[in-house]
Amino acid sequence: MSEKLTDLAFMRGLVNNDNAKLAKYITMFLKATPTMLNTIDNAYLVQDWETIKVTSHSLKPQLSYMGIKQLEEVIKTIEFNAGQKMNLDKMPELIAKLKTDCKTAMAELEEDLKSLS
Amino acid sequence: MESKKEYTLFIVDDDPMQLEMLKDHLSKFKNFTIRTYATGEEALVHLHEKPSIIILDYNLNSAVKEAKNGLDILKLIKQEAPDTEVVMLSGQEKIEVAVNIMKYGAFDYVVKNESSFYRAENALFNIIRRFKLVREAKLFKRLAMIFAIGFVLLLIVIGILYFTGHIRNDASWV
Repeated sequence: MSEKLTDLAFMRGLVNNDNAKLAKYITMFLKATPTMLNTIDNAYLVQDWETIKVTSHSLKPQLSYMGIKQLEEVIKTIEFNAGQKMNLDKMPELIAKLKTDCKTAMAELEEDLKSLS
Repeated sequence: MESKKEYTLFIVDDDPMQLEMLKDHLSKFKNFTIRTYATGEEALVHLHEKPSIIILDYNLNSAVKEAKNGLDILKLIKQEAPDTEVVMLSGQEKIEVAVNIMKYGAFDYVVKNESSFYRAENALFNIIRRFKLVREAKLFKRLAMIFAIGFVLLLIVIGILYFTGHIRNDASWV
């Protein structure tokens, strides 16, 4: 069995194992993340690096709170590259990785959410 | 009915999840009334509520593109409400950003990561401690002033009594 991408240990500690709060935050993450990924995707199509920088900056702490360690470097690199307008040829690959892993992470969180209710 | 609380805390962040998490985490401070805002401009409109502390995100333009950043809002807060303490929250780990923020009067600078909730909490403890020290210092100053005025009045009364002959200039007791 493959290892999970998400790790809710930090969140559980923060909310003191309050399942209602945990469910509230997971729901907020599940609602916000697809919109942010969409924004990054659309911004890439028009080479709007400022929007990519701002959106990836907002997404960064949320990925960290959900324990998605695998994407920490990816999101930092996207933000940095967009901000500096450098290594832009790497962006499609990085954005694709972000989207794929976020999709997997969100599926895991959907399952966690079910177990919380 | 909501009881009167000692302090008002504003939390300003354009990320609804961060805002909610921080508000929930800091609601353990029972003597705080907490208000949340998505932009600095919204918080400035409510500055007449005299917040004791404002936790302010540095980047505030993810939802409203033209929203001012945290540093510009910090400068405006310090102009309009210099006694309000500001804790800046940021996803940026650049030292020059932190130095600049402190230069403009922020009480503390907290990097947004897993420890930010505990660091923000710690900053609130430190600010409350400072508020208490300032209050005690003011009380001490007032007491010292009352004592000094009392002492001067006593000297004046003794002087009047002396010069009107009610107190004899008699050194026979020496």
